[in-house]
Amino acid sequence: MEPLVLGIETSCDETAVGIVRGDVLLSEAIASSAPEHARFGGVVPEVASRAHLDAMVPMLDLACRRAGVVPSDLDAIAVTSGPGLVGALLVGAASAKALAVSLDKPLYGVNHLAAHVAVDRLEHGPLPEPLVALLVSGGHSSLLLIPDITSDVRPLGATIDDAAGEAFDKVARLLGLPFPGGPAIDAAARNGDALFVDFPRGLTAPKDREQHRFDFSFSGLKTAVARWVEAQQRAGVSISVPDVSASFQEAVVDVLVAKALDACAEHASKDLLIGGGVAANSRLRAFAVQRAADVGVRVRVPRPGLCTDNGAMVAALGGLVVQRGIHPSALGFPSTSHQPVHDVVLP
Amino acid sequence: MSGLIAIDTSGPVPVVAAREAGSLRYAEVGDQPRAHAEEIGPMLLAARELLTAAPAAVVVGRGPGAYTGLRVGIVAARTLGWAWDVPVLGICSLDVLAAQSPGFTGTVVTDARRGELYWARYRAGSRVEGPGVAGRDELGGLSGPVLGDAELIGDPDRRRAGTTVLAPSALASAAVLAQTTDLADAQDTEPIYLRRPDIGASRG
Repeated sequence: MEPLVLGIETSCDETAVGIVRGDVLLSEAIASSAPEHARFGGVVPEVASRAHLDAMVPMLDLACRRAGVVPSDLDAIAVTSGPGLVGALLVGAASAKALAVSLDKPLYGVNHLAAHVAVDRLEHGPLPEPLVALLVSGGHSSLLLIPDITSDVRPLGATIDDAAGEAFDKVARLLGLPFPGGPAIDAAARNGDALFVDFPRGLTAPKDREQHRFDFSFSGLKTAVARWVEAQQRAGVSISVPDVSASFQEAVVDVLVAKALDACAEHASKDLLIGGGVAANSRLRAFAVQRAADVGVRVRVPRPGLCTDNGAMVAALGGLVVQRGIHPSALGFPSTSHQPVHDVVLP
Repeated sequence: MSGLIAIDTSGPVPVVAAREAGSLRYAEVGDQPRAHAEEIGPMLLAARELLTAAPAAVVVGRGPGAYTGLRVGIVAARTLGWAWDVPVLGICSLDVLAAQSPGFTGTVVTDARRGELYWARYRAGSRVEGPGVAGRDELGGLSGPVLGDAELIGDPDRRRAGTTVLAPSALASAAVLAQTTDLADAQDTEPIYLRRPDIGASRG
């Protein structure tokens, strides 16, 4: 039988545990401290870390109960070792190490970004190889080429300033919409005109194609929205939040999809996977599917609950790593904010 | 009670101890400052391997101490307790230091950084005031016996009039933790933070 793997994810504001057997998701348990961060307009690291400590064991217990297993049934433990907020990562790592010791089972410290890709095996079956992945969230915006998700993940490009999700949060604040900004802007944009304002598409000029072909920039876009809003206010014109939301969202989605499909063409990949919290955006999903179909690329996007941070993704990657016979991580492995994406499993 | 594993990560390095059949089987202190989560894995494994069976309880120091390190020990202890289905018992980390000097009367202090000290006062070995966090001046000059790092107390020569400065040892803390037996009212494993979180949003 395929190994029973428990995954722990605490890199940001979700304390999450998932249990998988092979490609089958058995259970998930997630506690979020997002409501505690809302009034600050962003995640407060110490608040997130305190919440992880409170929620860690209850989530372990809930995931096991929902899966109908007891701890000693587990074959392996996987935990996010980075990238993420260090204080938050450490809570999950310390719990995972204690769990591995108590059960005398192997432990794998795995990469958060690779886990966002691996989770799709639970939704759509084995991952095609090679695969291009677009990972977009509040902390990350990356394009990856993935010949093998357990051992060969190559960064093609990333944001040079704000993450895509961060841009959603900042623009939402400008428009008086709540945190997190992604769902709020997605909802507002449904009644808006995406062609209302032609906001800039970062790093798409011909000169940028040389140095930043697969990189992103959202800082200029955020500033452009701020200036446009200020100009309207100075002129005494009331702002249509749906129209500005739709126009901003279109600028983000346009760049993300164009660069992702360019990467697929460059690396002869017929498959594009989109993951991370921003992949829950309805316009991104629809636009990517439509544009990819035009060029013969298949798009895989996990369901929204598996796009945002979760424990199942860590377990899904852990399960693949176990099946490939990769050596477990040493119990002294570090948790780091900037673990490079090519470090899929720590030694 | 048979076996016991004890953890305290309130100080600059983790302390782990294990006891079984009345004798101390393991007592170690980490050697890398501020690497609690890295060091605790191998230390717990070593402690576990020296016991013949899963322990009947886990003991953990609740602080006060630096937040990030403190959480490492507490979450590890709670996880062990859950996985083995045994009780996890919390103890104030300053009480562990006080117990190094039997019948201690005086003040125990540890470094709270930012020019402040964590403190608690004891009489005949029992805590009578604290734990608290305060500036050195607010503690009334720390007269009388003080248990804590001499540099921290501002008396590196240990000669201040009317003061007995005793230096606690992390290794002794391990032994004290492992000998913990009076745990009837110790089901609380909440961290003793004593300060509210610093508020400042960060990119997730």
